[in-house]
Amino acid sequence: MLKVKHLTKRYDTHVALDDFSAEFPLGCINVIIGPSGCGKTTLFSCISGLEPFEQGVIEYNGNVLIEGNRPVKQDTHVIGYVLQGFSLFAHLTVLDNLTLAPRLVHKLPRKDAEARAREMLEKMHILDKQHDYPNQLSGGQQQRVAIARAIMMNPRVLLLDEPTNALDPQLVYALEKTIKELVADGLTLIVSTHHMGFADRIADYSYFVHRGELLTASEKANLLHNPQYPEIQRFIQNEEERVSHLD
Amino acid sequence: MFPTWINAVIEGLPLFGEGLRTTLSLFFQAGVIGFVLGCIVALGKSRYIPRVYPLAWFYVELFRNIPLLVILFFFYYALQFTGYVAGLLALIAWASAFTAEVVRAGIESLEEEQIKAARLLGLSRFQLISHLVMPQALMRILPVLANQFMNLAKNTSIVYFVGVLDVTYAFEQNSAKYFLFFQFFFIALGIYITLCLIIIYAFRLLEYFTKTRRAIKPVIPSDDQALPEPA
Repeated sequence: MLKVKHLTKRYDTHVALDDFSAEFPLGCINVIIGPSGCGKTTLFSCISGLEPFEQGVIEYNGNVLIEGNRPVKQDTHVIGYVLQGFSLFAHLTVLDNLTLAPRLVHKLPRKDAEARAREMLEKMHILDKQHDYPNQLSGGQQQRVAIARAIMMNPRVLLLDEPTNALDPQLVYALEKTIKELVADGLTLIVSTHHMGFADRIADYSYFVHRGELLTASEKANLLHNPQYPEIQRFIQNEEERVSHLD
Repeated sequence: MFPTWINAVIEGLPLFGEGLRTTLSLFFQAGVIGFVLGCIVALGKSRYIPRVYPLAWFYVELFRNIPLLVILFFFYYALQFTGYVAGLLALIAWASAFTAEVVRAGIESLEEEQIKAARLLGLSRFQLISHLVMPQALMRILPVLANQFMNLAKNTSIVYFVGVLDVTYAFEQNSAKYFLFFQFFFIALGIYITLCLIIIYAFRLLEYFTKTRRAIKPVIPSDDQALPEPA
């Protein structure tokens, strides 16, 4: 179980996360749903150790990973995080993007790192792109490289921040397939999204975040089917309006 | 057989040869040392090594705001170095101060997201700087760096003022000796222009080889992607 306990994060006077607590079961797909600006990305930044926070604890299987107000020192790479914009290293080929961190951080020999990277790319169906540079890839391909790069560090939990942004429906379906394959391989996924259809299709557990607080959680995406809270009803209405406007 | 002025020009050429050797030597030494020092100072002015910021700031502002000739005179008259060494030190100080600001611009242009990604992957600060920040920063500033090196090549001529035999000095000596100003002027002009053109095209070549790596295109969904059909 990945536990987030009483997490509070402030940006100056703005409270991005307010005493946020949640428990994420391992080996399944956890989906965090909420409108833009509700604190999903901040939550991921805190869980991954990217941002320090004022108060709270992140625990993995009973071991404290990060504690608020202490210097972040996460050597174990338990948590992998794929940022919203993918953030590939523009001057490196796909293969080098994947092998850089294992070679430098885990001191893996280049040959071994490349062999593993090729395996990973084959799994992601982009082995033919191994010598391309990021600017030669499409959005969907960049995303796969970013996911593969995060998995190269052997994380137990992978955070995907708004992975459906800027993807067309065909690519969203392909992403769903990839996510399910990763979970089948034993990885735990925590995915943030405001794309309701996507959440509905992949979620084993879902969590609704509103103004930096966990409003409610449910199995599957049940919280969207029987919305008990006016905030969720409003969110669903806004999303439906947005989608119909796009159509 | 030739008109007299052609014989005079031929006689004056060895002096240009010697001068060119000094000009090139100053250019390469000041170029390499100034560039490396400039990169270090640029890192000192960036957020990656924040502790040395005041020192880096002082260095840049000192040598950027003093005329090159005054720096040269300081090393030559005040510190009593030989003409060549004073010239070399002045050029290094000048080149590194300006290069530092150019490199800093490249460093600052790196997207925050890439830094975050590197931190998430566990790269140390040194690994971040050596493998991500500097390579990308340098690729992005190549055109400006070409200008910087061209200016350096031309500014080597300041050593004329402290009696060092470079191309400018050879031109002045020859034209005074043979009373042929224009002929020797055009030789000096040809040498400097050729040197600058070589620098421009060397950097163009570098730009060409690094072009594909420089920018990530925006993420735009397209339907021409060879992806597996959903299950």
